[in-house]
Amino acid sequence: MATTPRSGGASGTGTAQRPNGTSQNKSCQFKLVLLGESAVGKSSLVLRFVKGQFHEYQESTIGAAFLTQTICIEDTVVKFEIWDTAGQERYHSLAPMYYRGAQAAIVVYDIQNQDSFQRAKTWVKELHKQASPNIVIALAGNKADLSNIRVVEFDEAKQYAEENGLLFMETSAKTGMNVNDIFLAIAKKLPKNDGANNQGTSIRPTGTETNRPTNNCCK
Amino acid sequence: MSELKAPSLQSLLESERGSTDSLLAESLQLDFEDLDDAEFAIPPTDVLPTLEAVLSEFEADSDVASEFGMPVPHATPTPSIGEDSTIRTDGRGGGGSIMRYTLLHGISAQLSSAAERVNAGAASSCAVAAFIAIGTSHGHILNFDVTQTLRWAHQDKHGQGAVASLAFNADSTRLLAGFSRGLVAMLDTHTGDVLRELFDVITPNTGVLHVKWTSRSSLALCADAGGSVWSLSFTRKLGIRGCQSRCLFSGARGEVCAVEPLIMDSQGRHELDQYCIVALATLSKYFIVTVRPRLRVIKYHVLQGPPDCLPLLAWHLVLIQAADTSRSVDPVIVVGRGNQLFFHQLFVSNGRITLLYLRHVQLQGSLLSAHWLGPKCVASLDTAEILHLVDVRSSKELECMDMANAGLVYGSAQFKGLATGGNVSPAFALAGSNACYNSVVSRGTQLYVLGARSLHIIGVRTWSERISFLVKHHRWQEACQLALDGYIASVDRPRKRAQAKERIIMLFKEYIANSARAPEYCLGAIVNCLITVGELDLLWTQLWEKLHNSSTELFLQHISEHIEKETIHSVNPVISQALVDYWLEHSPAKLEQLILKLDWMCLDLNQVLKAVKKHRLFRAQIYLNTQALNDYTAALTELLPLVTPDETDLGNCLLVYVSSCLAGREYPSGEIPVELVHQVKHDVLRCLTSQHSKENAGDELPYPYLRALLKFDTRETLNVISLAFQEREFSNELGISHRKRIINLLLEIMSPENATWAEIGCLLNFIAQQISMQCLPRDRQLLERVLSHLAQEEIANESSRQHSERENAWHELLSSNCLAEISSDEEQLRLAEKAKCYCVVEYLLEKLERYDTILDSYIRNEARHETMFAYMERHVASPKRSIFRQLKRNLRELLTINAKETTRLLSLHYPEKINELLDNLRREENLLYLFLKCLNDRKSELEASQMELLLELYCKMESSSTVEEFLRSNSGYRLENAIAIAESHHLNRSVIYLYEKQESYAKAFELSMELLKSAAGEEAAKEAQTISALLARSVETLPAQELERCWFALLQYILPHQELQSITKSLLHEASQHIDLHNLVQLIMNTHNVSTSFGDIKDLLMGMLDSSRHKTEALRASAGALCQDLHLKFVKRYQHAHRGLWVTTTKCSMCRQRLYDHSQVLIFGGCGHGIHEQCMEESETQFEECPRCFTAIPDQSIGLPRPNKNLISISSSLEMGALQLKAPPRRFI
Repeated sequence: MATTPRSGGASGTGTAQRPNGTSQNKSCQFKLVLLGESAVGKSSLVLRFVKGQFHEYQESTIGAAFLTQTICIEDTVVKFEIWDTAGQERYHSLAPMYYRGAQAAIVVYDIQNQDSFQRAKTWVKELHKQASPNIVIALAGNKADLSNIRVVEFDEAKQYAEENGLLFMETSAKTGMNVNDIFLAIAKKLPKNDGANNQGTSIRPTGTETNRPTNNCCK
Repeated sequence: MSELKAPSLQSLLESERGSTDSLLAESLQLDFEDLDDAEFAIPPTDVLPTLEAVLSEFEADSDVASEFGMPVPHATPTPSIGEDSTIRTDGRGGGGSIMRYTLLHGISAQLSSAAERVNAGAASSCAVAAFIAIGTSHGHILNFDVTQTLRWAHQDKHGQGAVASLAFNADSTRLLAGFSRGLVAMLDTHTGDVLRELFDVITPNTGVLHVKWTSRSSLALCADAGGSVWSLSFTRKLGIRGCQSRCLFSGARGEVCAVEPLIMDSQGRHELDQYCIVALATLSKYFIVTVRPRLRVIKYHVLQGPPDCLPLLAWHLVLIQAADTSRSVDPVIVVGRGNQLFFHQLFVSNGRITLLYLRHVQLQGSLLSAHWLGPKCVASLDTAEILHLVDVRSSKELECMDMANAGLVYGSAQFKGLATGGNVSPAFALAGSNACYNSVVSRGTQLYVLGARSLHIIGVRTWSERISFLVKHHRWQEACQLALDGYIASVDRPRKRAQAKERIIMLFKEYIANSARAPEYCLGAIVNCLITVGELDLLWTQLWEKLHNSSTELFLQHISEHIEKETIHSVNPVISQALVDYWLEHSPAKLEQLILKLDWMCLDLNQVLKAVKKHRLFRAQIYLNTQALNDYTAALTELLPLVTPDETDLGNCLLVYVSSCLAGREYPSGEIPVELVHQVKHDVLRCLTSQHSKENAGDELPYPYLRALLKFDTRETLNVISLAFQEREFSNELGISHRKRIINLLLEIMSPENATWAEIGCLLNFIAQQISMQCLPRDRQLLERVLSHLAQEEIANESSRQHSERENAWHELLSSNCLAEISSDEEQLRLAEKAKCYCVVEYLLEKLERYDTILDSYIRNEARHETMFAYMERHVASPKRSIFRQLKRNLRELLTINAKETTRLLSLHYPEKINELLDNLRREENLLYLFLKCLNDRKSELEASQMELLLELYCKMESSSTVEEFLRSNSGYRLENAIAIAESHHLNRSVIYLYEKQESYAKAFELSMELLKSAAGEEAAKEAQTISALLARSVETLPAQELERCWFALLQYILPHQELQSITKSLLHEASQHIDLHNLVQLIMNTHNVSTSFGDIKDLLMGMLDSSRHKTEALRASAGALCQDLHLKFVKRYQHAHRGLWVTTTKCSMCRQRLYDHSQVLIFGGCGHGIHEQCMEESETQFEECPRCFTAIPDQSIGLPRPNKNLISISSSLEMGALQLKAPPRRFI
């Protein structure tokens, strides 16, 4: 049975309370990245998970946004460091900066938008090709509260997820359906022992060969 | 046992140093033979297992040991015992963190117990090695192990008094004990068995002061209370233990107080290992001596100090950095006396042992002891029982500790020889009152201080231990500083650096554990530590999570400072979010500065980009777009629409940004990566020149981005494009076409409907410059268009600067010969004249060599007027330039522009032409006047006619006062002509001046009177005063009668006028100086209608009376003086007439004829001789003395007309000495 996650007091500074107060609990820290087409609800999904809020008119994300949330699962405290990337095409070059070095990724699509599902498939392929081999990928079909006008069938997405070894849930940031569940499922699937070794690793977006060194020296 | 005493050390000093003595050689030979047979007891095999473990716990890390490769010396283990609160620690130096005090409670308790129960007496000496041995005043020896457990106790059975000195050998198997009555005993360290008891090895009837083992295992030294030093060679023949003693130094020649052998323990790795070296000190000197292989004095020095102070000696191996950058590990001895410490290095140089002075340290008080605590520090105990820790390298006192409560044991009894009847010298006894050689012992980095019933340890904390101490006392600031110092000091040693880093991390964890109580001011120090060692993750995770609200802000401020100083370039995303929120609230400008210095990958781009847009942080927005999004056009598409003429900051920012991008540089600093430069340039240029914006509003004009920049600042935008054209991308054929396209775009954008003529002018000038610099091909159509603009006759609102730029552009095109195909030079010349581009005209005339009209273009171009005169000056000697002809033709204009410079040129180069030029200007009086005036100002010595002409012009154009001034300052004119000119212009004052100059005062007066009569009021008064001054000046010229007439004329005019009454008095006074007063008064009385009152002429009348009285008095005085003078003369003559006659001869002194019966006789006074008057006249000389007797003739001499015979005869008889009955006449004097 998973414990209900508690929301932190401020964005980015969330700290969960230890349920039993002992210092023997393990503590894990994971980097998680959200990918998907623009306007599919990535930011709403994270906002619901971290703050329990939903904004009907969510602004487009610029570049990437950072949030943290800590949950308790069994006897382990799991801290997610979440990078919510922008889905617009102009920001596509930023994505590798964030998913490289990430332990988990949620690829989001809109069940009303077939193109977003196709885009999600493209993201999955890119992750398999360039991301960490052990990355845990979850496929999220958002806006499930509008299932009466769905375009992407549940079975089609589920079959695709099973074929590619993905976690799959249809979610609704508006109603909160399966929002916590998908993060819990990821937490359960992540290796805890290996996670403990990640306690001291860098949690910044990792550089790649295309990353330009920031040279601030005046010449 | 045979005892063979070698020659004493003192005798060697008296002989030649280094010489060998047969007796010494024999002794050495004997020792060598004995060594072959020596056998020592087998060490015990029952070593406790815990001993090694206990020792290793307290192993000190010595730099010199690790550097030299030596095994680290084992420090005596210290059980964990709480500090004694009674010990007061001074706060100086290390603040109590360097020296650590520990009381050995176990040993102290057993000492007290032994004293109480078995009457062992108070502690008197101690030695520390693998065991701790303590001797007592009643001859007991207690031996403790590292656990403070008593292993054995020994009691002297022979009544030898107190244990004066104890010494362990190198491997801690033997213990030597010296007693105050002379016994030297050797004991087994493990069992306490007595191996040797030596009663007669030192001076008889003296006590032991020191026992010391040397570097040789079978050789020890002993110093007695008589000041002698003995060597003890332990022997074992046929299983019988024995000892041979030999006197090395006799106390009779100097009493040795201190003995200190050098123990190398380097296992043969040092050159000095082959020697057995000992340091000795007396009350006045110290010696460095080799005992093996032979006895020799290496060096000695004088050691002075207070008489109640003992010398101190201590050896240690020290890493020494020499001047030639070589490093060595050599023994260093510290020698102390009084409050002085001297350091000397002992080393082998060219096969010889050398002692080198290193440094000197002076402390506050007199010293009791000096010991090394590690290779870098010396611990000194002063007479106030305060322990000072001194850093040898810096000669500074690091810390001090008060040891007064320790109950320090003094060896005064031994130095005073109390146990042997006090048979010591008084100096020895006095100095020994502060002896504590055997109660303060050092080992490794620990100092053992023996109290009467206690044993204390003072150790030097290691760097890590010091940090722990400071942490324990919550002195976080000092702990962090010390930790950083250690880390920075280990920059060249990776292993030590790693250790220091680990220690800092440990310190950080201790800080976290105590963070609830830690003061916030230490937060900066902790942050600094972690940043310096590169453990940033600890900052972002463990430290950040522990902070509260106020300390969170403090933390963010510290982090911001480090970002600004560029010690860190990236932070945790959580921190970056907090930083953004914090500085948005406090200072958005500072936030922008931080963003520009941070690695973008640690930022929440969504948060930051929205914030910078909202707060208009343009630079940060550009930075993030380019760095993070790799989008070099977003800044243009998003920000250019916001540019307005009022947004100067944004506009300038974008101009710099575009210029940087097109030049391949990052904004605001750095370089664009090489692989991206080409793409960035292309993208930026394409975006800038795009025909439609992203939004593509229906009503927007084409090329909105470029248009916006041009509208903001046309000139600077064109400058940016000009710089871009110099880049490599515009140099090839494709680049040239790009240039043309951009030029066409600019022309299309800046049409007259959308731009002002000023802006269009900037563009066309820009194009002209581009063409002239070969940056654009010569496009005939384009050039025609450019030329049509440049040649415009009239441009509305064109400023002088714009006109000048137009001229410059045209000039550049001509210089680069770009317009040759468009039109001929003649046509260009005509166009330039119409457009008033006189620089171009000038250039073309110069090119066409039409020098005769080139000056015209100079004259019309106001900006070139100064250059024009330089041009004429430069070419004045060139006939083809026709300078004079052009000067003559344009003389009027040139004089109007700069008359002074024109005149200078003409008078300097064409003086003969001046008259001709003057004739040309006859009908233009203004220019003529200007010309002449400048000539005159140059002191050109004009002719008289020219000067008069100038005067004429002055009269016409200037005021009368100016003319008058001109007349006064010049004199080249002819007076008659000048007067005529001035009169013709009715300049009466000038005429008056000229009349006066001509000395025609009468005419000047007449004219002045006319002015006076025509003036009225105040002006008349001034005029009258002027006339008065004129008449005063004419006194020497005008005849008196004429002068009086003039004055009368003036006064006759003034007196009747009521308005001139104010000056009547002064004029009358002035007149009285020059004319007769009677006539003046009569004039006043006879004048009708006199307006003055009696008061006005009162002074005049009184003056007349005074003058008359003065003259009367003067006349009377003169007459009186004259009468008195006559009276005096008469009196003298009367007296002279009544004077008696004394004649002493009857013959003339000249002719020798008789004196009487002649007409006139002169009788000389004084001598009475006489002379005929005729003879006097004939001689033609004035006698000053009598010609007969040469007596000086007095002033008075008397003449006798016709003296009778009787008078002369009677007088002469007296000369013969005859006595007369009549009274003789008086001799006049």
